[in-house]
Amino acid sequence: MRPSPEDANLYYTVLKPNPMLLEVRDLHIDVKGHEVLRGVNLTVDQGESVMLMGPNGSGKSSLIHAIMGHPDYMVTKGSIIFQGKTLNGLPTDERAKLGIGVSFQLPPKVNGVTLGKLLSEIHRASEGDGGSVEEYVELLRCSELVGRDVNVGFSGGETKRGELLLLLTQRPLFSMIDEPDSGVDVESIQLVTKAIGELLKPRDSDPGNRPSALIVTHQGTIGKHLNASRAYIMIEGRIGCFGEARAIVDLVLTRGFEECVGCMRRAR
Amino acid sequence: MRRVYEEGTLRADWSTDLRQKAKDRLSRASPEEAELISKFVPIRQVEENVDNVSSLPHDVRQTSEAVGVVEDESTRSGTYFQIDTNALIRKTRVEGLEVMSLEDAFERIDLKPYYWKAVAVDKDGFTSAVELYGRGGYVIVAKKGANIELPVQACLFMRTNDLLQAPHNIIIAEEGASVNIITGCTAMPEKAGIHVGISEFYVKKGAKVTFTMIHSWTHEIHVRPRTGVMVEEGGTFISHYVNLNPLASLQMYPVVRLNGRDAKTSISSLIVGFGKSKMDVGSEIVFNAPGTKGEIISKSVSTQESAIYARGRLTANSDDTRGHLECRGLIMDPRSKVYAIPELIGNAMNVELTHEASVGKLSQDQIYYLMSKGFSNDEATSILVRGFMETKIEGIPSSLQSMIESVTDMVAKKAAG
Repeated sequence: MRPSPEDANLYYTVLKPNPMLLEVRDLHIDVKGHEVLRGVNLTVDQGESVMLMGPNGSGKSSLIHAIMGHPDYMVTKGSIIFQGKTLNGLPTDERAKLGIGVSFQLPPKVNGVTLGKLLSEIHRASEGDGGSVEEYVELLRCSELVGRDVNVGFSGGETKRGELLLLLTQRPLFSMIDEPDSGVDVESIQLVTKAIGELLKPRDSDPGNRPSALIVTHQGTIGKHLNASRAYIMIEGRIGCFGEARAIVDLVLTRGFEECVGCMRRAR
Repeated sequence: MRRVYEEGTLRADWSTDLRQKAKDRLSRASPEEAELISKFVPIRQVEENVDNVSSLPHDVRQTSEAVGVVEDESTRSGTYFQIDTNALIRKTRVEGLEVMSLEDAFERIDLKPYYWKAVAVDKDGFTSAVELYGRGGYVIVAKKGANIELPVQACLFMRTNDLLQAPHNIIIAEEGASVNIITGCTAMPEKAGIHVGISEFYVKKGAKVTFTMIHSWTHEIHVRPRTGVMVEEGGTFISHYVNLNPLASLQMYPVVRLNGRDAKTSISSLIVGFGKSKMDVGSEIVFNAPGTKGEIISKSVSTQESAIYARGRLTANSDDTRGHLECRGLIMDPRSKVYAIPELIGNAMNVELTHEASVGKLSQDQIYYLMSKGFSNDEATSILVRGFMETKIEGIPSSLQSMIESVTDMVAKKAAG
């Protein structure tokens, strides 16, 4: 199962699936002098949902920040290509405007700004693309959160619902969802699954261009609920292996990541 | 050289001792106190009366509107308006509420239990100067059990150049009464002077006072408010202080004493520092009885190379008390400064005192977070500054809310560059 960057490219040259939306090519990232990603290769096609799995600290969230353009995440080698355009050096808001969005695992508190206020600002900027904010509030059962300051005193489940609500309102072409299933109950997982389904629906302004998602999880629970096509396993800042989502999720759920770590070390 | 002014007349035959203490204290005034007090003049004016806010001079109305004074007095249960040393308007529209000048009050009620009881007359040179040269100030009494629904408005206005304005305010909420007071203090543009306002609050058993004070001064005005609050059993004192404009210097440190069981208080402040403005603002809660609770929330924004001292102190002298102090300073440019000085003092074992203090520029994590939602760096900065300054105060007029918003806009725009 061990892939090389060439294997990933082979997948495209041989199978030629849907057009590629995102390509991460041999990406190396430094954060304040520490190398957190050491040559990551990953692709996401149009309309595809891809899972990124791996133990805590393996670099999954780092990849999200790198794609979103966090100022502390320096590209030292490789590139991130979105819709054929290289993102290296592009500021975060420009990336968001291209259609990239994140639901963060640990978003910061924003005192004095209510969730409702932030939603209406985002909705205004998105020119009303997609459904109404009210529908999404209903869908994610957030009516009690909209009057509160963003992430201030939110529980784990509330934070996730709030983030997904913001993301739905933003309606990105490419959603990155960090740990939607950690520390939440079964009912919340169902809500999260619904929200992800909604995010993958085509946008009114661009019906031919089906949105995609990268779902990051270290547990894999959500994998049972999602209709993801492929999954990657990240170990120590590199992609350990990738393949058909169900196979990878089953592997992780039954055997954990121990074996992946061993497999990867043997291969080096 | 020190100028000496003629003393005001003795307030009452029982106030001889207080007068003597003030004299003694003033003779020991610090150089700063002596300089500020002797630089400005406690003028005497011919007494005048005005029927209502709309009969005040146009320029006075315009300036006072920004600190919350409304012309439509039907939305207010009472009004007090003082220009310089002259209490022009003092009236009430409802039962159970009295609005007087200090001079009226000495004739009409027994002030002995309240006069200089929550603030010591010889606390410093400024309190002494108020006893010796002061004139005016309001006395507001909410009678036993009265629920005064509409706010009472008060304005202390400085119109004459080089004025020493030294009003002495006394607010009494009798047992079970509740009252909401909005006070605006302001000056005509380009005037110099000093404002020393004494405010003594007495919140009796089960009473509630909500007090909002808005300051809007000018570059040449020095401000030294002196405030003391006594809260009895089950009483509540809520205070908001807003100061969003430049001034020469400001130093204040109101002290709230929770003397009765289950008394509560909440003190919030929002100040913005500009350029040479020297601001030293703090407050203290003293927990003297079991079951008392209190919080201080202080927000300071330092701009244009200004320096702000933001102090806060919780002193627990009794078991079973709970206090929280939140002190947040936002620094808008590399040469501005905020000194946050939180103090927690536990003089009993079973107390719970906590504080959170943070000082710095806007957090990079927050900016990145908002940028990931599609906002530009400038938009994100502006949203965060607005969020920091967000203030919702119950009952304040729209003119005041819009003043707060326009200053917020200005700071947010500057921050966004």
